[in-house]
Amino acid sequence: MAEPSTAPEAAVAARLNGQFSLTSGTNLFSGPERMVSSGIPAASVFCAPYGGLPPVPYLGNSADVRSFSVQVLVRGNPDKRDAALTLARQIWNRLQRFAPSGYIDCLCDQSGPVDLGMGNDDLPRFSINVSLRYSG
Amino acid sequence: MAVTAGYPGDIYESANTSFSVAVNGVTSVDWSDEADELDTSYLGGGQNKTSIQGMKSSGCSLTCNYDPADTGQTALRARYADGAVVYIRFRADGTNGFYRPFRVFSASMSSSTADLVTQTFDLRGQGAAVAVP
Repeated sequence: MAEPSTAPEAAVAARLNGQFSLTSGTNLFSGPERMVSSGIPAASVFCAPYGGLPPVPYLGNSADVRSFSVQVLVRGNPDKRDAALTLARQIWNRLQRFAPSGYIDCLCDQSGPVDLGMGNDDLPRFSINVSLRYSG
Repeated sequence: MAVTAGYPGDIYESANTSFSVAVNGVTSVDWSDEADELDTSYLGGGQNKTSIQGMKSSGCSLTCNYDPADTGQTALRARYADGAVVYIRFRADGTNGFYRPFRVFSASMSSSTADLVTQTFDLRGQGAAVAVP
């Protein structure tokens, strides 16, 4: 089995880098959500891998069709839920039907962002869950 | 009791028995052998029907995820176009299986927007199966 040349969460983050005032390493991160801290603003986007559907093996040749799940978590500033939702919708449109290099395609798992509510920190959160299909 | 998973199997094809070309992207294989049943029951022969084998027929159905760059899939489509015999070897576990000559009688494609494009080849046997290895 060959691994994709670019990890699925990195491919998603690269698609968003430079869009909607998102900059990789500044307010756009590849990996799970991290607490607000120096260098990690409240209004940030995190792209984390979440497994995916079982691989479908081909006959012989050690190749599979795989479907990698990536959760894009959009976290907004306090009292800025509408702005976070707008960004989440923009990200949904940016990722749906995206064809990352080395992958078959990228399709969103839902027809819009999922409202995750606000945690104890009162920061609005939305998730866009996508699946990247890969053959190899 | 030993059981066998499907994915270690393989499908190879060629114009003779060299089996030099792999058919890739195969997701399912249906290899079938069937003989006509000729009824030999007769009046006074008791209450149990009897029969003998008639002509044998065989087939193979291959379903693949469509890959226009795959030599094996392209060759099968070409054998549908020219009607020539193609030898197919199916090894169910990558070692043990059969081969026989076939002709391709159907090459169909299926596409729906959210799924991968597939193509299915239906082949009819032109001779007896030979066990491998």
